[in-house]
Order: sequence, then C-alpha cells, then structure tokens
Amino acid sequence: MKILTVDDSSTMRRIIKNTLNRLGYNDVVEAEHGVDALAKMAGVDFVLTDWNMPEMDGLTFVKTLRSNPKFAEVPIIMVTTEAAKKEILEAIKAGVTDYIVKPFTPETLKEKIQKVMGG
Amino acid sequence: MGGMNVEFINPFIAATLQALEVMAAVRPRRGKPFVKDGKVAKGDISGVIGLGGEATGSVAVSFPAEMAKRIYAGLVGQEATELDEDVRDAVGEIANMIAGGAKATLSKDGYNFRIAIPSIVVGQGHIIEHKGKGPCLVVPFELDGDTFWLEVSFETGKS
Repeated sequence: MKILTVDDSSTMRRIIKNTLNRLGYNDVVEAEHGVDALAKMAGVDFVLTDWNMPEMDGLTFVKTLRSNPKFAEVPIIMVTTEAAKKEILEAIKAGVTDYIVKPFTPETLKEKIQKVMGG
Repeated sequence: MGGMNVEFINPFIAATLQALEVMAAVRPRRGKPFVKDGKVAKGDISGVIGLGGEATGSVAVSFPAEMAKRIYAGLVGQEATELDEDVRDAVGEIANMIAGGAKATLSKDGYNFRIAIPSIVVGQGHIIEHKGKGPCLVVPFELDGDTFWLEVSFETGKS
C-alpha cells in the first residue's frame, strides 16, 4: 500500500506520516504541492492532500487526478484548515473521498483513514 | 462601511485555543486584549497570514523561542534545539489553523475571506506588517508562566 501525503507544511507531513506509520503503513511518499504530487503519483494507492498550497492547490490537484481515468478511483482525503461548508461541498464536488479539518486529533485521522481504506 | 469590531477577535481566540489544544496538547489561558502600539512583535518568532476578499486584514501569532520549540515538540513528538526550518514551519501551520478556524466561524456570519500562505518572521524585536488599515488587537495568552501573543487586524468591507 503506497500512500502519498501532500502538504506544503513539513510539520503537517510529519504528523500525517507518523500516524500512518503507527497504523502500519510504511510506504509513504511526500509532496509539497500539487505539481510535485502529480509527478509522484505512479503506483500510489491512496492520497492525503492539503488545500492551500503554492504552485498548484489541493482542489486543482484533485480535479486533475479525477480527470485522469488512471486515478479516477484512487481514494483521496483532503486535510485542510478550510472548514466552511461552502469549501467542503466544493471539495466533495471535485471528487474527494473524505475530508478532515485541521486541527485534528490523531484519532480522527486514524478513523478517517481506516474508513476510507475499508478497515 | 468598514471598520474594526472587537467581536471579530473572538473566533480568532477560539481557533488559537483549539489549534494548540488539539494539535500540541497544551492549554493556554487567554488574557485581556489591547490595541497594539507600533509594529514590533513581542515574541521571537511569528507566523503571519494575510486575509483578503469581503473582509481584509491579517492575523499573526508570536511566540517566545522556548515556547515555539515546546509547541513544535508537542506537534510532531520530536525535540527542537533551535528556531530552525522545522520550528518555523510549525509556527506557520499554527497560524494557518488559527486563520482557518476563524474563517469557518466568520463565514457563518456572512464574512467570507480567503487565507494566504503563511509567512514567518524570526528575531527579537522583529516587525509585523499587518494588512488592515485599522487598529490591530493583541491578545496575550499565558502558558506555563510564559506569554505568547495573537495579533489580529480585521476589517469588514471590501478592500
């Protein structure tokens, strides 16, 4: 299981990676923004992405993935500070599988990952 | 008609407490807000985020060096020895969560705005350039006998 975590914050990538490692997922790839992430999608089974990032934001990244038949079904969780209803609906429309608002507890992250992974 | 309303500070205060409690497992105590005089920050490291759209301004969170390192350790579970790239990033992410949390609350009241990417300023006596034309409110927070500061410059009405 190869997981890609996309966030311009190294702190957030580390928090997410630590949680994934604790859950037993050790094949974790990191990307700093959407452009970086698109270049690292080969073989990725599951994506966690931030929204507000330089170069390419998370919403554009999700839309780009969903427009490619190869990545149309890859589970994507958006992990973002954008917590307004309007933004959540926009992300769902763009094709995210689930949504986590920052700040989040490790338990929330764990539950959402397990739900999306079907575990 | 735009203008500063002190009630706008409350969602920023709530978001500050929530971000630090949930992500770094610390419980700061808020003090009494005051209007900022001048541009110098009280902390050694500050995360600053511009807000734009139907409401404009900026929000900053300014920490003493030791507290910033402690919060970094609370976030990622690793010690920091200096205000390096990792600690700077962590302070930026806290600022991001404060702006995002306040945005969610304020958008329910009809004040929609965008959040910019955070910038970090380091050094004793550094300057914080706020975007709003109006006054800047400062809220001190006490944590383990030390203080950090939230600064909010927020104006309704389009820029």
